[in-house]
Amino acid sequence: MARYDDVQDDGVRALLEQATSEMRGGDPSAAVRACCDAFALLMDQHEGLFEENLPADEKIHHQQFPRFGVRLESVEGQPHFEFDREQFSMGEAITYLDFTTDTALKRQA
Amino acid sequence: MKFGLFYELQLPRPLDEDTWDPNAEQQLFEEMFEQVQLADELGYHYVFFVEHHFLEEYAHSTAPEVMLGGLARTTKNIRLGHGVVQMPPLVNHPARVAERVSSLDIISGGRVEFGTGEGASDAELGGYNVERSLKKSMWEEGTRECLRMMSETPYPGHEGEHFSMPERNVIPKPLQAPHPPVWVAASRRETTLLAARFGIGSMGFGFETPEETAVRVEEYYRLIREECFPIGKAINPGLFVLNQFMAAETDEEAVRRSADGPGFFSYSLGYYSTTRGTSRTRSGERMIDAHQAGVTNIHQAFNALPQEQKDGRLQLSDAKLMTAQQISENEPENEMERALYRAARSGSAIGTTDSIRENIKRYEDAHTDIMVFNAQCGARKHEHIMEAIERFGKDVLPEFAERHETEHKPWRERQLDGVPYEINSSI
Repeated sequence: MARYDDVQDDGVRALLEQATSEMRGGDPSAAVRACCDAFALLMDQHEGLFEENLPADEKIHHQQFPRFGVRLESVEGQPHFEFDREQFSMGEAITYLDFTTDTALKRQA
Repeated sequence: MKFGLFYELQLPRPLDEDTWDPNAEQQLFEEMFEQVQLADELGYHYVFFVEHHFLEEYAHSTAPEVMLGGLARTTKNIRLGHGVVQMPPLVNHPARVAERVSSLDIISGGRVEFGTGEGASDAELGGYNVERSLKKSMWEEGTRECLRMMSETPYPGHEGEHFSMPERNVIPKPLQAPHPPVWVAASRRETTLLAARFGIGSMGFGFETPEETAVRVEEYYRLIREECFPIGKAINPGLFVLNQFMAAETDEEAVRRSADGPGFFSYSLGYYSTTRGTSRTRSGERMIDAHQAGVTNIHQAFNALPQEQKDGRLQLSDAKLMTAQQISENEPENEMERALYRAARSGSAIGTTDSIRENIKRYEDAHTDIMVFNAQCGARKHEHIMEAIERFGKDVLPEFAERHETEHKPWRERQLDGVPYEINSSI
C-alpha cells in the first residue's frame, strides 16, 4: 500500500499515483509536474493553503512547498508555479511527492 | 541497539582571548584518538565524523578521511563512519570520494560506513559556490555516480547536470562489495522518507523522541519494503539517532560535567544556520548579526547568555526553572527550530549509567538500530569524556549489544522479509 492510498480526494490521489508511476518509469521531471498539479488541486480545495506556502520568513521555508527548481509564487493574487528548470532528479521528485502527500493527509485529518 | 560516538570536533575559542592556543587543534585531535581507542576496546560499534567547512568553533572536523585513516590503523573493530561526506561535486568530486572511501575501506579491513549529505549552512555552501536550490540534485548525482565508480569496472563515464567525466577505471575498489553501507544525513523526517525510498540508512540528527522514532521506524521500513528505488547496488536499511551524552557517578555530577556542552553545540549550530546579516530570536536570545571570519568569538557570545539559557533551561515568568514536561510543552513547532531546541536540552543519555539505561531503553523498544553519542562538545573536559565512555561501555553497552543479537536482528529480518535487493549492512 503506497502512502498516497490514504488520500481521500480522488483527483489528488490519482495525480500522486501518476507521480509515483512516473518515478518508477524513470521520469522524475514528469513526477514533479504531477505533484505540482496535485498541490494546485489542494490549494483550490483548502482555503489559506496557498498563502501559507508563499515564500516568507527564511526560518519556516522547510515547512513550505519545496524550492528545488520550482517556486510557488503569487501572480495577481493567484498561485503560479515558476519552473527554474525542466529537469529534476529522483530525490527532488521524492521530496515534492512526500511534501504533497503529507499536505493532503494533514488537511483531510 | 548498537552504539557509536559522533564527532564534530568542537573547539570553542578561549573566553579571555580572541584566538586559540597554537596547539589547541593538535590537542583536540590527540584527545579524540584516545577516546575512540578506548571506545574500540570497550566494544562500541561505530564512530562517525562530520565534514563541515569554515564553521569555526562548531566543527573542526573538515577532513574526516584523515581522522578515519588514522583510526583505521590504531583500532581493531569499531566501524569507521563518514557522518557525512558532502557530495555536491563542487565540494568533493565523486571520483575523489570513491578513491578515498575505497582506500579507507581497504586499510581498515572493510570497516567503512559511507555517510553522505548535501551540506547545510550558507557559510559552507557559499564557500564552495553551491547554490542551495541545487544541492539535493547535486547530492543525488554525486552519490549515485560515486557508488557506480566503486562497483563498476571500468566506470563508463558520465555526462550529467553537475559534473562530467570520461570512461575511467576508478581504483582501488572497496573491500566491501559492491560498496560500503550507504547513509544520508537526515535532520528532518522528510529526508528519512527519502532515505528509505533510496534504500539507504537514515542518520537522524533531529534529536527525535522515542515516540517519534517509533513512528519513523515503522514508516521507514514500510517504504523500504514497498516503495524503494535503490540508489546503489546494495541497500543499507537502518536508522540511527543522535543523543547528547555524559555519564558520571551521580546524575548531578553528570549534569555538572556535561557543562555547557549541549548548549554550545545548539547555540553554535544555530549561529551558523542563520543567514549572514540576519538575526533570529531563539529562546529569548538574539543571534549575532554579522559573522567576521577568523575574528568572531562565538564562545564569548554564548558565555554571555544567562546560565538558564546556556544549559538549555528556560526561565519561567515567576523566575522558576522549567520542568522536563514544561520544556517538552514549550517546543517550537518548526522542525529545524525544534532540533536546535532539543540539541540543547536532550538529557536522556546524561546521568548515571542506571538513569541512562532506563532512558534509552525506550529507544530500543522503538526498534532503533543505532544510538550515536555526542560526547565531545563545547568545553567539556577530556578526562570526563573518557570516564563517561568507560562507564557506559562497561555498565550498559553489553546488555544492549546482546539484545541486539537476540531480539533486534530477528525483528529486523522480519521487516526486510521479501525485499528483493541485495543488502550490505553492518546492523
